[in-house]
Amino acid sequence: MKPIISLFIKIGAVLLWSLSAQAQQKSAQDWINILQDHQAKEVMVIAHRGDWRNAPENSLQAIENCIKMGVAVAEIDIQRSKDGHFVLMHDRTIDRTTNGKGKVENYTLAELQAFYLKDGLGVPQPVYTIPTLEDALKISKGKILLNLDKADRWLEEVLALVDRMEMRDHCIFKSSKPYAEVKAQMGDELEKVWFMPIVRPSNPNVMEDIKEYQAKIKPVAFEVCFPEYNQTTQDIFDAVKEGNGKVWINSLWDFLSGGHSDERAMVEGKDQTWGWILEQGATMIQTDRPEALIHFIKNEKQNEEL
Amino acid sequence: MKNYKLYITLTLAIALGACNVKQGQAPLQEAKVASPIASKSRAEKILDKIKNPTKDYVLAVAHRGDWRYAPENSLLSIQRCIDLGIDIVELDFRLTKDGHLVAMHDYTVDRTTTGKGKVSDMTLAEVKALRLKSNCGIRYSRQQVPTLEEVMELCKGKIMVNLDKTEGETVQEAFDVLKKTGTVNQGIFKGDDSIEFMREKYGPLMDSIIYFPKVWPRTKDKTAFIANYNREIAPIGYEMIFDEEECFITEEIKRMNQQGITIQTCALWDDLVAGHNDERVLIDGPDAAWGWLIDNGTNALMTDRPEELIKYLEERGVRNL
Repeated sequence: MKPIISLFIKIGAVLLWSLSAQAQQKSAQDWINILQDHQAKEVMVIAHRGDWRNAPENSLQAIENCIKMGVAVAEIDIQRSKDGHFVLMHDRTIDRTTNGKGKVENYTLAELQAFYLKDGLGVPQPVYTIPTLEDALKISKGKILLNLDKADRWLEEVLALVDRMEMRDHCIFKSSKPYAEVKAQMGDELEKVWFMPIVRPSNPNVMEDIKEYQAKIKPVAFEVCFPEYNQTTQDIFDAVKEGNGKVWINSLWDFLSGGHSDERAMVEGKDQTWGWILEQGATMIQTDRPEALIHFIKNEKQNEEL
Repeated sequence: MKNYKLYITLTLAIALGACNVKQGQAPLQEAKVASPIASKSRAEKILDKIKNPTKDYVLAVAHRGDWRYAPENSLLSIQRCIDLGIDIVELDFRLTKDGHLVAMHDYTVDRTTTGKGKVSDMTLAEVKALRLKSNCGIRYSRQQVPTLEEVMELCKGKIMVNLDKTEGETVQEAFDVLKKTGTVNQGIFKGDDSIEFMREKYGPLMDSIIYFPKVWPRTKDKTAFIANYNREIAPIGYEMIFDEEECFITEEIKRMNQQGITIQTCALWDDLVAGHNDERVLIDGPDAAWGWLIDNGTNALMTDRPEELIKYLEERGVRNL
């Protein structure tokens, strides 16, 4: 074959391959559509603190990795610097995740960004620094949704930044407080954001709380946390689904999902854990193992249905 | 004529290699067919490669187990290394108050477990009551701190274990466990101390263990340090640490390559490998980091990214055990 023809075929093949890869990769808009469609079968995987296995938790790289994996939502945590900038950081102090010490609120952004984030062994890595919320929003735009944890303390300011970036539809907020308290805190904004109540069977008023939320704001999803699976848990699932909402389950730790945890998935089998969660009709799963969960959903679950 | 012979040898080697692959995929019963090579355990084959390093095999060494997959120094992180096909798992061992060696990197249990305090102030029962944390301090793993004995039982016949932190401190205690579990040939000891110090402390025990001396830029009188080790116990491997591409240590690596001594390098951090580390793999690609180390004499490559390293070594065609 003439080299030039062979080259064209190769280029064509690469183009086709990249197009098909793009077709598989969902955009933020795709995930927003799925989020609003309570009948959608697609499972939304939420990565807790980003892909912290392969990059420091709450780093830009941890979000980039999530985008590549096909994660729907990256869960990130927000703190505020002394000079009023929002940064990604789980703890109030920078002690655990950087080579610095002290509270986030006692440092300016410039000071914070001079520190290095630690890798999983606790070793500071000079290539990773504390990102701003703005940078996290920038790299996420059009690609992935964000669950902004701990943002309720500065809701107005955070929303101002999110609006400046025109990304309100990318952001998910949650709270375990009942409707009246959240309404008092968030005011009119509550109806203008993706808000998901967190509910627990241990709360004696849980069914009333769910009904009130459904009557007032009709949340697209409820996060259900249950140390053990029992009748109340089942009643919660049913009520959420009857109200045309999605069920969000955390497989992070045993006591959030009745023992159906990520670690058990790896040790005892994915069917008994993630498979069980899917059987309950959950279509949003927060995990510390996004790559393995996506693989499970794509390959093993799909094959079963075929 | 010489070339012709070489050609035949190569063809045979490739054909045999192909057979091996097929055997690997065959049902278990067929794999049991006795042959002198098949009767060797995987750990024995790995040890052969350490003793006789060849260009067609680079040993993959996982730092603290696959800690991205499971807590560092946990049985689950070790099992994962076995499943990935890692050759050597590097783990850390410290002595409890009541004399048991347990897998723990730090002096204290604070960073990696749900508890607080020094390992040396705790009994084995107290350590066992704790649960390991996932890396980055995310809580609630079911994994416990394993003892050296549990580790060696898990690894028996499957994978070599690089015993860090035993250094010049707990070599005897660790050796006793290896002997009890029948895994003396699977433990690789290492340390910074001179052979004079080790001889003084451990006497003839130094002739019964696999020992990799560690040579650092800061090691005093490197020429004598190495010469004395070579004369006294002729180590089958060295761990070489260098912060410049061209220095005494990188020259020494070339000399050791010619003597058939295994060179272990640690791609964990910048200043252990003159910048050719794991993070660089992500930024500039594996050739710039792992590839450079292999091209410059590394036979055993320690990494924090075992899954990716194995993939790279397979692509390079240096994984034919």
